[in-house]
Amino acid sequence: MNYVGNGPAPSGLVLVGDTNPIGMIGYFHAPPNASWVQLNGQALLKASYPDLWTWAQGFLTADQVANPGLYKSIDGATFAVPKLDGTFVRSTGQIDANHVASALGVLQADAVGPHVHTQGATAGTGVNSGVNVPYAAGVTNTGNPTPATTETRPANVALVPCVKALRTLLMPASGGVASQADQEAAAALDKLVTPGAQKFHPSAAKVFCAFDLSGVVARAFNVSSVTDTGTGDWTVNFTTPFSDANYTVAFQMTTVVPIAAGTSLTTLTTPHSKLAGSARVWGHGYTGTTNNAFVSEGGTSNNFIAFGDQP
Amino acid sequence: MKRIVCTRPDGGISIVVPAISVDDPPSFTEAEALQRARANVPSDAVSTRDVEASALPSSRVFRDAWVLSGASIVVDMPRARTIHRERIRQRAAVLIARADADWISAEQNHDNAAKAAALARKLALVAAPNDPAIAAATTPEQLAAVDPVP
Repeated sequence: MNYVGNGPAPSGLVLVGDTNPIGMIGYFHAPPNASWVQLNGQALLKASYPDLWTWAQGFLTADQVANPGLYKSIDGATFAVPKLDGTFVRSTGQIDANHVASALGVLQADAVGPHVHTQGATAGTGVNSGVNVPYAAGVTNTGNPTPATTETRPANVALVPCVKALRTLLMPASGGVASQADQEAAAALDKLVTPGAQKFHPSAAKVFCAFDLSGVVARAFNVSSVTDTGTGDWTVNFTTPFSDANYTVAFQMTTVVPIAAGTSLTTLTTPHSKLAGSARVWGHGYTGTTNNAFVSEGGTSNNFIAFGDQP
Repeated sequence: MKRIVCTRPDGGISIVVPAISVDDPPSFTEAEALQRARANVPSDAVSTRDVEASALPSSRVFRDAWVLSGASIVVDMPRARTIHRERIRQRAAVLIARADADWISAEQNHDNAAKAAALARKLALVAAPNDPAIAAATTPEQLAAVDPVP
């Protein structure tokens, strides 16, 4: 999906990556990621960078030495990006007749603007661009000031010019994002999972609930209420029911409250009965044998969790 | 948050406690939770009534004897006595088995005094659920304090 611009994803699509448009030039200390390539004249495969190659169609040259700011088609399979090594970038156009940029992408060579060398009538030492230089009377001075350079330049720092070469990834929402069916199948390795669909994976709990003796919920997911039916007898009611009663329940109580002071208790928890929309659980302490169950109140902290399929 | 008290055909009550889950919208209110929880009222409920949490007894010792009385939840004392006797009976059963073992051991050792003590302990345990203090107790607190198991 060709995406140029930095707006939100069109309806039905999702964005993956940055939203800078193809062809955008930026300066970095190094190419920030694989979607940006350095503008050093390197050859790229047209098939691997189709969007940049499409963008380059309006800025092609056959002579990249004279026009290093343009792209060049090398052959049927490859093209070269602009070669900006060591050059300054200038705005196109002109501000007046004395300050005219070259044509788009064309190299503008070194040049020195009009200036005056003041020399005496006799031999001696004069000043040329702030540097003392010797001169002979009536002789044109052709020497360079020190420190000697081969170019005229302003103060500068060097950074790496790069072009946005690979598109921001746009994935169709219907194909690139896992649906409920994809989650329930638990097989796809090329789908993105959204928060709303994560719960449909078989390994995800469809319900959890921490509640006290009275059925008061401390924290829960997909629970509409807890029914306190009696001593150690609760029903956890689900907001979204399961597809059927063939789901798995784990129930645990932590601290058991003994009815008779000093009684030593062992805990017994039982998922008693399950319906699609609720599960009834028992939790008791007992003394000695299970035949003596139900002699105590349930736990002060009860923990319920359920896995299964939802419609 | 209010509760929905449901009176069952057996006279006992089930209490539906509404919940707000982490997956509910941030704006979901207690009133909306209460309304949603009405769908969770047991199908065999004879009647329902909304009550404040403060209307529930502070002690759950006789939870299975709770009944609705007007807008309040109270402990039905006849039910509570039955529950208390059953608990005593279950605790005594373990000790009766131990007294029987002591009696057999005493018999094997020809220790008549130990046999008599074991027998007396067993008889006291058998009689424990019928302790007259149970019938005499008029409040849940008095009843819970009756502990005739030696």
